[in-house]
Amino acid sequence: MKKKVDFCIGIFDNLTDEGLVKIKNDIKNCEIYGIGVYTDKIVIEDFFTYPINNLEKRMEIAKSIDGVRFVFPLDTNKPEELKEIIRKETIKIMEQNNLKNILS
Amino acid sequence: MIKDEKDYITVWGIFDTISKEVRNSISKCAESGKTLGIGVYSDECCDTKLFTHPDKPLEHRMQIAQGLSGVTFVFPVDSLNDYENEKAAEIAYREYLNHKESLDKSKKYKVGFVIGSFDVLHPGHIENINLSSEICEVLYAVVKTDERVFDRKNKYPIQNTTERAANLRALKNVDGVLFYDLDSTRVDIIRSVISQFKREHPTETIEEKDLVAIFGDDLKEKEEERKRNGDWGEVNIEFTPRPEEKMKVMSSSVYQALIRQRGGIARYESEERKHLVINGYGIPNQGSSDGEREL
Repeated sequence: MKKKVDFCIGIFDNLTDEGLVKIKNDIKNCEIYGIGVYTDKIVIEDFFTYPINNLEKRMEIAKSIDGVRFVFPLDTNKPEELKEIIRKETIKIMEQNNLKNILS
Repeated sequence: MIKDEKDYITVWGIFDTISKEVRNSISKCAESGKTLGIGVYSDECCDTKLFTHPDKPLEHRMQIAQGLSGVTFVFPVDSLNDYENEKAAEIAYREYLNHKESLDKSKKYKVGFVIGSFDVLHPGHIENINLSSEICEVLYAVVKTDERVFDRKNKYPIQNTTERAANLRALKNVDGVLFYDLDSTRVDIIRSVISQFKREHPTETIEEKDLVAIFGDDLKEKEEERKRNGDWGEVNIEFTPRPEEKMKVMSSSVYQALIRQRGGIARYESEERKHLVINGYGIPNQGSSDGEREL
């Protein structure tokens, strides 16, 4: 049975085929797929590398993947805070999806 | 993620493009004073778990991480799982300790010192210092003051005493810098080295026979004669290789002549900056407004 909502989180500075294949497989197994993209500050302070593309551009890269329904920024790498952000984004997209179903 | 273990701290990251902010973040980690280990995410981990492909391969990124100030040991990590990475860190830390212990055991002398002007620090100096640090547990650099250099060579060094000492202090393998003044003698140097060591290691004993003075082998004849004459007392003397061919391209006189040709260190530094602009590093030169290429 397909998941209702699934997501992944990452940096999306330079996405390769390996990463894309994984995402595509996950998209096949859910109805709604979202991507959380770490902000520049988190990439520098938590992953110790300077992103070549800024957050906006990286979110565009994530959004451009076929099948991705929603993209959101992540300004934390703490597990509890991440869970909360993802929970809120999931609720938001589910509400939008329900509204869309009602309207159609 | 930073994990604070008993004897060491670990950090894991990508270490692909290093900016000032990244360096500052690492420096903050190192401020605790504990040994700092860095886990570097593998290429596959970056691709499939962080959804970003690093420009540089893992080996190169590990070298970059190792070179950052404050970093003691580096290891690869394949996972975003803290528990797995901590296990890898523990293994890497044990390997580092074993390696350090075997290095320390192979070190013949407790304390060594190198003496020189170190005017415009160059790769030859660094090579000599690195070789010297392999035979002693603690290495001091004894730098000749401006007055001493002028008195012996009838010209001042290009960089002053303070600048030359600061360069030496920044080297990983130099544990301390001492000064060789105008009227100091070898006996004074020996006393300074012993005194400095005792201040830094109050619980340890040290005698002249625990010391080694290390010179380039171009000074072998002169220093061995001094040793025979008793000038070095019980201090041991050792020599590092300085092949003639290498000295022709990598010696103080070669670099100093080059700098004097260009009009001194201030002019040299200004030309370095121009070179960086031409290569597009974005440092603005004094003529243009935004660091455009200079023709």
